Amino acid sequence: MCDFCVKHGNGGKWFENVENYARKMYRIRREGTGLQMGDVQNLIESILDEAIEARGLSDPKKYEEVKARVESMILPAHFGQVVTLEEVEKILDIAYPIARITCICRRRSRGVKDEENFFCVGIGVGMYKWEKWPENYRGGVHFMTPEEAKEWIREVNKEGAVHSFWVFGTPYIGGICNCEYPSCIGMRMRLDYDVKLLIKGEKVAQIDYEKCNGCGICLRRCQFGAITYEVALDRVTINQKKCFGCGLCATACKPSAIVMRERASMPGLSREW
Amino acid sequence: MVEIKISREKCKNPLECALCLRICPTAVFYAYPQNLRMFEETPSEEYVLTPRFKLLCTVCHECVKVCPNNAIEIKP
Repeated sequence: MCDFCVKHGNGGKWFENVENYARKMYRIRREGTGLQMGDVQNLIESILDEAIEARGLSDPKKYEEVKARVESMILPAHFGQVVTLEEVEKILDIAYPIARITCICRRRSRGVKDEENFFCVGIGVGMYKWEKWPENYRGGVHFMTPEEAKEWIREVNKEGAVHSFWVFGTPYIGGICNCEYPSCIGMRMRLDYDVKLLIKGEKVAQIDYEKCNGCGICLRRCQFGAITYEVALDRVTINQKKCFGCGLCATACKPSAIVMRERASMPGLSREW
Repeated sequence: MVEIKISREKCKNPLECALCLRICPTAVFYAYPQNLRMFEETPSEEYVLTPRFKLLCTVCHECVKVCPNNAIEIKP
């Protein structure tokens, strides 16, 4: 079980613990009270730049140093974890209120316009106060019932976005993102710069070779480069070390040959985050 | 390392234009808000285009070609 589950899970998975969505963990932003947890996004951006710069120095020792410092700053404040569709649906059952909001990554790295950019979900009382962050957030919020949210998120899953949830002051969970490489800064930092802004999920994909018909639909769905098609064997192979546990391969697999196993139950992977 | 120069005089509103942001195969560019003022909206003209992920630039020059203001210069 992950460290966050041990610390914040109350005996279960930490994102299934209602306490981590509780109102008491949300702090209202007021003028004159200095930086607050909601300001972390801006702070994190500049912290990440240190790692980005260090990566370009071709000095591995220096990079490791900077990376360790950057991770020690983001893990208590703002980071994401990959979740499967099933896990997102569980979150949507326990978090309230739920609202569609615009994606800050797609806006800044792809210039996606607000009206086409409602890819993220804000959860918790912060959604009633969204206009408290005018310098950062724009686009408004669209409130949804849990049922509407689930239906929408299933559509997004079909289209192929990776679900993740994000903390705003660990362990307060304040949002669900539907990410894609390369515009997602979390995926980019993790995959290209090896910084754990996005950590792996609680699940790992495994193939039942008896059922795999080699159609390769899963290949197109994996954004982490974990799946390859082996010509000689006429089947796909999943590299579980690369798998982030998003489950996109499993939700598209027609013969249901891919199962999402508990990471904690797999000795070689239980400490891979 | 690849050098990517962006002229702030020529690139006035990267979020509105967004041509380079959208065309880059490796999403090298990132529009940063400058002079964030707490509790005040940041107009899109205050976003500045940066080659944030220049390590990933493959020097394909698509951004240079697409920029209507010739604001981008790339030296491999």
